[in-house]
Amino acid sequence: MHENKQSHVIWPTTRRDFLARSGAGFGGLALSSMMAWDSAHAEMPQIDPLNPLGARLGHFAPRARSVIFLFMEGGPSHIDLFDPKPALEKWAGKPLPESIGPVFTPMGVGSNTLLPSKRKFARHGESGMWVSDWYPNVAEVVDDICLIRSCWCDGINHVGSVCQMNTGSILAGRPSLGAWVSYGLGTENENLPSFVVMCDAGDPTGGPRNWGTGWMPATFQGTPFRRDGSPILYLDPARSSGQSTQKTKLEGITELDRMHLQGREDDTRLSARIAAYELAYRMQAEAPEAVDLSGETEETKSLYGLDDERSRTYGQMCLRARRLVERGVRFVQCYSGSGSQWDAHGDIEENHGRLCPRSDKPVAGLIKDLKRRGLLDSTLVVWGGEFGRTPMNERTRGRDHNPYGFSMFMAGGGIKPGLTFGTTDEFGLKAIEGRVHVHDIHATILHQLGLDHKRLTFPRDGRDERLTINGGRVIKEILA
Amino acid sequence: MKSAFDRTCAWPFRPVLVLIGAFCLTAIADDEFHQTKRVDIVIKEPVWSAEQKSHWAFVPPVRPQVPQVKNSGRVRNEIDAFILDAIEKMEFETSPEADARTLIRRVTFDLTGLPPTPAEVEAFLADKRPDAYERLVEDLMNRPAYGERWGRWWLDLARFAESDGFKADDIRPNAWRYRDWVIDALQADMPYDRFVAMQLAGDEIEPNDPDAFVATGLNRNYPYEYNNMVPGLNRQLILDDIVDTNAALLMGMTVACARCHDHKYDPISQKDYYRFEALFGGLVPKDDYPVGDPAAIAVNSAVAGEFAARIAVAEKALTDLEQPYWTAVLEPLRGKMSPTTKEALDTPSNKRTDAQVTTIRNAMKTLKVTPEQVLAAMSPADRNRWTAMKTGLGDAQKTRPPAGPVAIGMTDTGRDAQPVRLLIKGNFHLQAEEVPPGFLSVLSDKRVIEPKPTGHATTGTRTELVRWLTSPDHPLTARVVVNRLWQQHFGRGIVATPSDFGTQGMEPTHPELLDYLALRLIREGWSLKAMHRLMVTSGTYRLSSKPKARAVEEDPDNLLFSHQTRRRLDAEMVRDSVLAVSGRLNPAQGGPSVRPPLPAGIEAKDWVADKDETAHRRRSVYIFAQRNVKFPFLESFDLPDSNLSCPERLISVNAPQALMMLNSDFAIDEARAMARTVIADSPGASDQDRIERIWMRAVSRKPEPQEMQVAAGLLANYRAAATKHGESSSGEVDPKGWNASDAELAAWADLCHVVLNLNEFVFVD
Repeated sequence: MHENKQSHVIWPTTRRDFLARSGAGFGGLALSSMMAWDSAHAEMPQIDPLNPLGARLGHFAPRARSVIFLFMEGGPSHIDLFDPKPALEKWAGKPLPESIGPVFTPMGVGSNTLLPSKRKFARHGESGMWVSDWYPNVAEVVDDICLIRSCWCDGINHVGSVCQMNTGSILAGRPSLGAWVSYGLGTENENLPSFVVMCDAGDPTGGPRNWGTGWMPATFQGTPFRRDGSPILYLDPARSSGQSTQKTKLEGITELDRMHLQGREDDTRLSARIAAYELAYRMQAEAPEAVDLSGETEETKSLYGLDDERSRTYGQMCLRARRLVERGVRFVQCYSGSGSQWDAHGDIEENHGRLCPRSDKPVAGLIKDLKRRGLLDSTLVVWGGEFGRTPMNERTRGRDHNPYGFSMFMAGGGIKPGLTFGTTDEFGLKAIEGRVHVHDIHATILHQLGLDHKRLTFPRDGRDERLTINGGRVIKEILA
Repeated sequence: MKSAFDRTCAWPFRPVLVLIGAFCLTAIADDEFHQTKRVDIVIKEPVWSAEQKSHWAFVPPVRPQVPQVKNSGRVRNEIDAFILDAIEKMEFETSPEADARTLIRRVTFDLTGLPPTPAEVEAFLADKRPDAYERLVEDLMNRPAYGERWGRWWLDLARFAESDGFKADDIRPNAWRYRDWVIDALQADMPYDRFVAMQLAGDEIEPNDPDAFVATGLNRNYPYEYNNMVPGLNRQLILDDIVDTNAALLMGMTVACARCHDHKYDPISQKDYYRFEALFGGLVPKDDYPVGDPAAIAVNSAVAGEFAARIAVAEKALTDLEQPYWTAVLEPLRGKMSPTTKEALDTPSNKRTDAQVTTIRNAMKTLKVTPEQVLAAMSPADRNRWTAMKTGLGDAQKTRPPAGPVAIGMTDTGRDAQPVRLLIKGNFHLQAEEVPPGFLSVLSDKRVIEPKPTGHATTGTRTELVRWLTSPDHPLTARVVVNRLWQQHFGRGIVATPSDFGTQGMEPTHPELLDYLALRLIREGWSLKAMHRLMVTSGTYRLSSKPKARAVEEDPDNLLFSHQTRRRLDAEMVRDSVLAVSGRLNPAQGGPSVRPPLPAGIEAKDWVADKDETAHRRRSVYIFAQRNVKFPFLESFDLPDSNLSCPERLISVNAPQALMMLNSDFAIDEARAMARTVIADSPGASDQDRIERIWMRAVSRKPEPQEMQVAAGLLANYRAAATKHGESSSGEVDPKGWNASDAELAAWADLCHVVLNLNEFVFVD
């Protein structure tokens, strides 16, 4: 009757071949055939309802297997880190020339005077990439990274821009990048979540929606790993209702569930739930080990800055991120300064002087460590905030939000190393050459994972929705 | 009380519009959107073709003939005739009707969101009257639990939350009144046309009725970014949210595409979008509407009025003192002023209108004149007077009398609404012509409506919208709501996209049935309970959820409704069921929301667990609905995001849910409570008897012999482990205090915990 239309509920009710497989037992349930999807949606990921996170192929051969997104939340200043602007010295204390036209910023600094950076910039590595003295360790890995100095986004405030960097839209309610990746590719380690989020402080602006699934099934959402104790909510079976082991309870649950399944084999959700209990049990065993750093050498810990009070927290997160991608986790997001801490309205020197040392060694250590382990080729590392900061001063020493032009970098995963791409104007206000919108970043990340952002769709109220909404372009110029 | 637009009192800022004469669309890059421009171009409206207008959903329903079917013995009511007609034409057959045990479990969850108690199951099985089931249905619909379950259904659609969302996620302390209004209205079977009318225009239609004002909370449920500094943009975003929500909720139309351009698929022009938006153009939030005892309201209002007057006098005196000095400070900046400001400044200070005073104040802000500069310009005597008066004002403000209970909702600013302008490409900064209020042009010729005067200070446009939506020949209103009820009772709507009846939505599988139900709803005075009754007493509803082999093969999506659909309980139902079977559900109704404890490591703004522990065990609909932090238990079972109207819950099955049911304090505590309840209810009973009681509580049936055997075996293991624990010196319970009854409780708690984790506990046949 409606062969070309698919409701967005993902669990169809029929498995023609299910009878043949039922009774295969607890482990057997994980072995599964693919769901027959509507032919009109042949491009959509083939989701096995018994194992919705099972690894699956993308649209073409991938360059990267995993992504680690290092999110500097609050808006790091490109002008003081990666994008030196000598012209600002000349214009110091003067407003932008009239030719720039009026500039709207949230705190209304459009006509404020320009504030040159106090940082010392130098060229580094064979590539001669510019990095300031706030990121000396990152400066050591410039030949492994591709710097994009021409990013721009749509939102002038944190919540919208953080939301856009995560979901493509400044308005809440859409699935996050990590959720799209989990939906498209599943995970390579079924004992761990496919999408893990870590924060060094409180929740990022906008909260858990930043790793949510919007209207997609919750299965694909990010799992926040906590900083202390058990990494997943209720992963620890410490408390019990009585005195028996969880294993004996699970055996009882499974045995009774299998009896209940008889005569209901057509409903795959029931078997999926039995499998979910099995996964929960395995995760209890594997997830704590995956984030346990006690087996790492002192040298490695030091590489990530664990021996420095300032960088210990973020260093632990980056080291855990490496351990997770090593174990097949698909998408890891590590927030630095979560809760808008990079937001240097009042005093750029004070704020970034504090924030940069927290992430410098961990970020550089991660890239070095991935490289020496041969993991950088298959891991795409992305660094950036939700926007940059203005060249105009705010309250004399601070800088306001700048969505018109800012820097991000990528490393590994088939991205051209040592390249500096795109430019902002002479003030560092607006991206002018090789402009890269958030949708382009997203399209490129998906592309490196073997996914075409225009073909990775999810049906929603009559529209095949995609991460990049109506835009997005793979930044071909930066691909190796 | 803080208003939603605290920074500016009403809709924030009048847009600063830059009029430009010549304008070329292509000259504006997509990203250069941060300056508001008035765009002088005329938007042409498309002309709808006959084909576009005749889309099934745009043509009013026509009363169909109830079909005659061969198997008339299976027809319990008209629904079955329509369903069987299609099944017979396809030479299909239905599954048999479900047994009584399955039926009472199914219908009790569907109508109340809770499982039947063992006593209710026994009574129903023993009731041999021919109308036993119909009596059960009436009883269920009369329970408060009915309002709570169906209230939650509407709250999903209404994107209900008790906080702003976005970064600050500020609390809306009185939002719960709307939740209670919805529950009460559904419980009382308020006719659906009135239910809609109150929510859209309660303030206009019943201006002196606090309940009617609370109902307008529907449109107060928008997410709100208080920190949005773009002048006027918040009003726009909120109106967009209201338009998108109302169109989807009430008409099943996805109009959001037309915000930026004519809808690509449906006959909705961009102009239609803004004309529909203009119906709401007068709306502002009102967060201090007094409710409660009328006498107390009168007293509070008099006291508040006296206070406000006193403050106003003091403020005016300060302004009068300052005014001459404003002129002095501003004079040198004359070159940067608009003509209006200059004119205000040139008016002698004792002759300035209030508007002129405001103009000058705004100009001082724009020109960055600080209060200190004004103070510095004063004579020493005036400066001393000013300081004394300012201190006095501050002290007076501290004596603000306590406010009585208030409600939040929406009303108009007055008889005239602030204009709504068409936005080029949906870009707020590219504002084109003003669009007067009207209905969607494909459905109505009223491109501009002329509201009748309402007799009070509102525009009347929303009342006109109500009149149009609830007129019997509106093609969408009744169809959309009966389809939503059908979706809840049968697992999928007759139209499977319940908020999209447009050309991209699914077509109805049973169009005549949909029309029949829509017209019947209207005929029965828009009674939703009558519609529930019709649906759940039909033979189709009572079918087994076990499909026939042929249905599995040839109709996998059950488009023919030849069997029922097994339902995974909604998040609230899972949690409420756990509490119900443990015997600890607190049935208190209504009132401010409760905050059970959050798991360690989860934080939410101002979330302090209620001191009264029994409040932690209220029904889930009463848990505080924080927009940014969903209650973790409910979130794991797919509680929807409250930023958008949710027409249909996603159902996921995943490992974190298993961890929640296995390891959470909630699950463990309630398993133990359940064991205590079962033991207390059956002193000296046999194991077999108690196992039967556990099964009856949790899954409304006695265990099969094979299950009994497994359960007894598990119990023996758990009992052995518990006894052994009593003998050892390790473990969390002090062995000295560990006696036989502790061991017994532990063993039964483990068995109860197993049962709470079963598929059958959360999936209802």
